[in-house]
Amino acid sequence: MSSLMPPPSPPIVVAFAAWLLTVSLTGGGCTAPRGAGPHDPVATQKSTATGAQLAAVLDEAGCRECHNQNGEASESRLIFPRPGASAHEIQTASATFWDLVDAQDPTKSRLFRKPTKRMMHEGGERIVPGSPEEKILLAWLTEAAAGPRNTLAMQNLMVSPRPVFSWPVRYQGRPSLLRRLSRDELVATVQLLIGVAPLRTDLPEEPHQGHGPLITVGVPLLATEIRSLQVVMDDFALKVGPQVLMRSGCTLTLQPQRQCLGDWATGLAARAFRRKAFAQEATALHGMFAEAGKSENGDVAAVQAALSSIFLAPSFLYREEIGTAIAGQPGLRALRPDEIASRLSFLATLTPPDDALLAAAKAGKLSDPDERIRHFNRIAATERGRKAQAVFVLQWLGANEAKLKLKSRKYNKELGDDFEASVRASAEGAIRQVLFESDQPTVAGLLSTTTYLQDESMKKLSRPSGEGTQMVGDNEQTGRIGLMMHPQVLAAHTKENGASPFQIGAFLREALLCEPVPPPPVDAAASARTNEPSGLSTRQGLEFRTSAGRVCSGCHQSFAPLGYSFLPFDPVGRWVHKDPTGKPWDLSGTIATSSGEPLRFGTPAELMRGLANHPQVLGCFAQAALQWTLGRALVTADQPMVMAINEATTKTRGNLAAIFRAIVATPGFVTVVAPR
Amino acid sequence: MTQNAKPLVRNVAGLSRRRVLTHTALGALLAPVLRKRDALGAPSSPRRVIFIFSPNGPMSACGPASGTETDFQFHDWWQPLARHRADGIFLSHMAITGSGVVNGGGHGLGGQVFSGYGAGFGGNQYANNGQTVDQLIGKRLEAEYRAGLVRSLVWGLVGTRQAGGTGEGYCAAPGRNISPETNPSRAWAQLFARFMGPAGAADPGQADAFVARDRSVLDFVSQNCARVKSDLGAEGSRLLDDHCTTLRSMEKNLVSGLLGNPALKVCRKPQDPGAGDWANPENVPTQMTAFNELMATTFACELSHVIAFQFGGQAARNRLPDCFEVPTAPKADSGDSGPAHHPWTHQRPSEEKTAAMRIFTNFYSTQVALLVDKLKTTMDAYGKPLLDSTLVVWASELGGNEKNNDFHQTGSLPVVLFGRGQGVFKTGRYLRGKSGDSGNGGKEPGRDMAQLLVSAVQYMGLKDIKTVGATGVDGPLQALHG
Repeated sequence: MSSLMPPPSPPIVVAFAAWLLTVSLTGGGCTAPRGAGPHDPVATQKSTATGAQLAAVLDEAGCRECHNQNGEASESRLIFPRPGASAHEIQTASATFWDLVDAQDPTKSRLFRKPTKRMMHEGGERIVPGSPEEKILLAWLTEAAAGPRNTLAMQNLMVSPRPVFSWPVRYQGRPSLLRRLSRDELVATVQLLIGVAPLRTDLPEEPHQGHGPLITVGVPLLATEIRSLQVVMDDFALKVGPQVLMRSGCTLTLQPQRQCLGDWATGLAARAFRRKAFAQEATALHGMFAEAGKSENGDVAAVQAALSSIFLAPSFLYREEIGTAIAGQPGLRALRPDEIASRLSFLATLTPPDDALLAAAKAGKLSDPDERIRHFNRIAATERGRKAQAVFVLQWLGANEAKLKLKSRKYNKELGDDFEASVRASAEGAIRQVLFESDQPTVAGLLSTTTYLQDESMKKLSRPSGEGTQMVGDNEQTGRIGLMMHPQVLAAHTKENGASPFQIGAFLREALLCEPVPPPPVDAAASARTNEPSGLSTRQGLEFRTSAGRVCSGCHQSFAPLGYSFLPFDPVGRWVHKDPTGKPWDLSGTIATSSGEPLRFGTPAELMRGLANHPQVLGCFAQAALQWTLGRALVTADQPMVMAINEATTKTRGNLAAIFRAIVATPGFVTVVAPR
Repeated sequence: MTQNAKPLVRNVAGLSRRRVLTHTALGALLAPVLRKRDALGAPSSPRRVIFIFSPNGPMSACGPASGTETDFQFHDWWQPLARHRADGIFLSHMAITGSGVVNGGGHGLGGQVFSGYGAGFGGNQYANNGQTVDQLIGKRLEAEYRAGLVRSLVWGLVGTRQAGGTGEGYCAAPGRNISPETNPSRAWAQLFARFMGPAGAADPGQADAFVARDRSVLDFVSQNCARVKSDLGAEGSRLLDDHCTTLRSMEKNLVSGLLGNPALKVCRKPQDPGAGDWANPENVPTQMTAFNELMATTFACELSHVIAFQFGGQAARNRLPDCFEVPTAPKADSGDSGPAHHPWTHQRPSEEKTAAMRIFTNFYSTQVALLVDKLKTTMDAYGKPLLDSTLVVWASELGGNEKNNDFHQTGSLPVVLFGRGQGVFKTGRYLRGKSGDSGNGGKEPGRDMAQLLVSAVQYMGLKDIKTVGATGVDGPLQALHG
């Protein structure tokens, strides 16, 4: 039997079982069902290889999202157990599951016919007939039909822990052959091509989908965004037209202006489009310069038209990763050499390939992993490469946008107009110091750096001021360490007023531990406990209000302790000395992790030190790097790449460059997953 | 609240020849012809619509008016609308289209109020499962070459956005809520930077140059789009159809927008509102004045017929200038505090909360009333006030009542319409919906709200559309038509 995933090694299984105990004892997590305690055979039973594959298929098909107790398919016969379900509940659920299997003829099973929409299915076609996923489903059904009813393997499928990696991997991506340039890529590319760029803040913001790297694959520009972009790029072209005309070099040549400018524009289009301009495009661009040479104003206007044309063209605004079909692998396509070069260059520098990389692509060298790594190392070491890695880290930390200006005025009114920019520069500087100038260019380095403490912008916030409950500024308890306590990052996860423990806690659980926190239920606010006893601290008050039943407390337990440790930070990242209630801060907590060892901490600094070297955080960081590379969430076809980054991050303790090199070297880097 | 107000009645529509025809296959064949004939038969002015979304709801009041259908009084908070009494339909006790019809709840229903789709796309409670009706109408108008320069516009004030920016009031596609343009100067530039009003027409050479330049750009970009779309095969059609259509439309509209537009003779190019700190709450009134001016001028110059405006996204933490003296909310269970709209909605009833709710609702009412003023006093190319042909629909994602303890009251929703719609709507009335004062409103008022959207869609000439989103309703809200 073939398997896309290795069986879990015994230590991981034991560790996972211990983790299950922790989760179970703390009321369960909010995400993937975790099963019961350590002595529960469900938790320790090793899944069959087919079972593990099917679990991934069901995840990707989104079955669990509707078929749960509160989901749209809650009235159906297939109900995946709730998070933290008891062994009995899991057994009951899997018994019902068995009813959907036709032991005589697996192809007649409802479990086969429903998701493939061979019979009416409210959720539509979730598994494509004839697809590799369907083969996995059928193989599993055939296995199940031949065995006894309601086996432990079946129960394992219901809880789907798949404890193969040090972090929970979810396969819920939507592959596409079209990838939108991010604002960072667009600005960096235009800057590279013509030496000047529009303001990033003027460009339409990409849609965000939860925490983690941007999803740019399969996300076209909306009509409103196209119109907005047209205004920005037209305006930009008008402003820079004269200087671009000068830089074109054509004003100094003796050859006819028309030909020179036409050739210049055609060359610019080729670099912007990451391919040779087609004849029709070259003709059109040359046509824009038909009147060139008659007047300077006319030449400028023509240059402006060419710039607008090139920078508004979909060939520039989107990266096509189309590739060619691979025999025997209908879900995968092999990227063309120019597409590989483009993917590599944008990953390493946020910009299109340089001449050396294009030459390597033309010579067919990029099919060689060593050659790809060589080029990656070369371009990642440039200034553009360093900028790109800093942008990735800020994306990982959810802090790539300017947020300080959105806070209430009382927090930022005395910080000055340039504070936002200086805080951003401070954060980028700290990241660059860790990645390029320290001996620890790793997750641990990023989460424990203190180099930014001496930056002027940081000093503005850390300097003591005020008195009583208004006293702010870093003190002995603060222990500010790592980028999570940098104001650029804090401001990204705080509300405009007061403390934001739930927002920060949910972010840490999702982005650093890779465990999604579901949105609060519709009636969350209404179901909060009221009649809060007097004399509670801020934290005690929040804990009281969120303790209305197992659902509230169970979910909050998974992320709130992480956020409570950040309670003293105000929205712009100042440390507030005293709880407004006058009680002492209680910043301690314990959280469940995938290693099985609960993580205990007394202060945010201790929490950061604990997370900085934690295998779950390292793995999650590597996954973020992979998603950044691919521009989307993962799909099952990415499993070999996941295994590669797992190995790289384990060996290097989360060294970013090593993780990127591992990604670049995998066969998955030179293929694209075809959309269904 | 007067309890003897007449509830909305679902009339049985008469079976007119046109209605029968449009239900049949023959109707499908003739629909374009009929639509065209409708357009030809209608008064000269094209029809226009403005949707307005205000966040968070009034929370502590039932709605704009109370009384009977024709003998009604305005609630104090909506008093600024009273001067337009004869031109409006004032509804209370409606419910979000989703309530009891499609999934979603709380602020997550916000996008649904104008779509009829549920929320929760991709696991995000603020992400809509489908497009709002402004998009639906705009795309159809564009496809039928009667959209003007831009098929639809989405503008708004700055309210703090939900994580991921998915909580905006309007949505283009599943999970793609639209970030509104909040900078009136950029909104102006989109429409008027190249606009040749009567003053510009004096220099036809310059206009010709603009047109020639823009045409060459859009030619290039459109051809490139078609190529990329073709390269991508089925993916291209799925992902780039709209992109390429938008470009083609921009190209086609060049002449009508710049030179061939009949409104050019009468409409005047407005002033660029200029650079400003549009994220600063102190500038909100100036920002609103600029947008109200832009809405009226956009219609008067025939540049678009569909505008969607939001005072803020779902659960927006809207703020007003200090002179409005909004009290400071203590920290709410939602985690926010301060002199903003949202944290007050999460407070228990108190005089202060009522005062805050009054200030915000009153501000929104004032701005809507000013917009209606503008629509009444601005003439279109046919010499008629814009309000004659413009329908204004204002709604929020949440409702409320005087004793409300529910921070996400999805029933008892206020909705306000302005404009007789060239005689289509019977104005000067108060209509009480079927929702109770509390709860989620139930299915019937949600159905009425969905039908209200159908009325708006059909008013814009899309008479073959009888339902919105996933609501399953079949036809307009007859009560609006008297």
